[in-house]
Amino acid sequence: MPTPDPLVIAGRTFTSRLIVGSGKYSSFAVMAQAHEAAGAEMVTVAVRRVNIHDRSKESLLDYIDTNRRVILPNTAACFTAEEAIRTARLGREAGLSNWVKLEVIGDEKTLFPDNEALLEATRVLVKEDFVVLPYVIDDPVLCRKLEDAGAAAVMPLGAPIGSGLGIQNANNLRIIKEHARVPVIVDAGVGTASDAAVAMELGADAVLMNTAIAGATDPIAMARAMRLAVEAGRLAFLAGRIPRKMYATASSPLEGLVGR
Amino acid sequence: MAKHLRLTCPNTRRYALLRTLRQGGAPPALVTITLNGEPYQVDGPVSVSTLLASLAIDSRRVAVEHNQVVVRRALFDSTIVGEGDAVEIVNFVGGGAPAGSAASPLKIPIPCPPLIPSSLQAGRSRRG
Repeated sequence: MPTPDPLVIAGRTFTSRLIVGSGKYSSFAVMAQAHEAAGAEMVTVAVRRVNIHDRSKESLLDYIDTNRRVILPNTAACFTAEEAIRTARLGREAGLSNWVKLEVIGDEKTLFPDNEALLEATRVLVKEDFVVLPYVIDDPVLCRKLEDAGAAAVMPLGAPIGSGLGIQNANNLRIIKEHARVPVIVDAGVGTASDAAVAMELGADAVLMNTAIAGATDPIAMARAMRLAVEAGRLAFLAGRIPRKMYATASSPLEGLVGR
Repeated sequence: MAKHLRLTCPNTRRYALLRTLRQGGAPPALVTITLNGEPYQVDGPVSVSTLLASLAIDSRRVAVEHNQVVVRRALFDSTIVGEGDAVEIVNFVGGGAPAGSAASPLKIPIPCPPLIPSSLQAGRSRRG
């Protein structure tokens, strides 16, 4: 029986350390199966205008089992603190939950966050009793400021959103984790299962991903791979890896060899 | 402090209008509002609940902003939308990463060495 190792964010306990998105899937049905295969307990969703002219579209919420998965509204594609704050407030009202994955984007091409605006929006939303999970650049100083501002977790990127480049900043992530008093969630950059395992081996408390699963040829199989990788990475981190050495260290006894 | 940080300020004109309507006042006329960024005509003034119903929108699934202030669900019946008002109706859609323009390549190409370096491949073929 494995030792219980829950993830706790703002007093809420999760068994799964894999947080998933809900975008870019070929259909809601595939998304629902992928969420199941991922074993996800938290799903992030975007807040957008209702299509007034075409009401025929199915509702995303019909495909997310809200009894088993927490809805995490996000402020994706918001470029100012004001936009992000408005979107967070609307998300809270639509979802009746005060959690928000806070994104304030500063650059269209890289989708890197606008650090100043992110900090400002965090301060405002924390005052309004939001549980703020900010998507942040891999900067330990900024992560500390966000934490001081009341963020419930910090979510540094491993690489640009949707890039699939894998963890490009292992040392920064390790430093962020070493100093953080709130959970560190690696958000964005994962391309395949080994990337998720690396993030967890570095000590991350959780990994958040969307494109790596939704964009895979078989999203459901990839979701399962990610689930296993996150679990494996976490276990390896807790188990304590051996130090890296330059040269070989024999695993078998050197005495008693035949013919010597 | 920035404009968006202001708290809801009760609009006395609107409350007066609500009272008039409740007391069987003047019948509604056609009003033009800005709905999700577009001009929209509706028999009004109307409550948020009535507006949602006329659009066949399930009020449990959406959030509504009236003149940049979020309307609590409990106040959908009593919040009145009138001429020139701005209304945003939003819901949850699939997302996690914004589509943005991230798909377009960066100016500096990412070095991506082949799994087997070409020097090794060449060496093998010479030996073979």
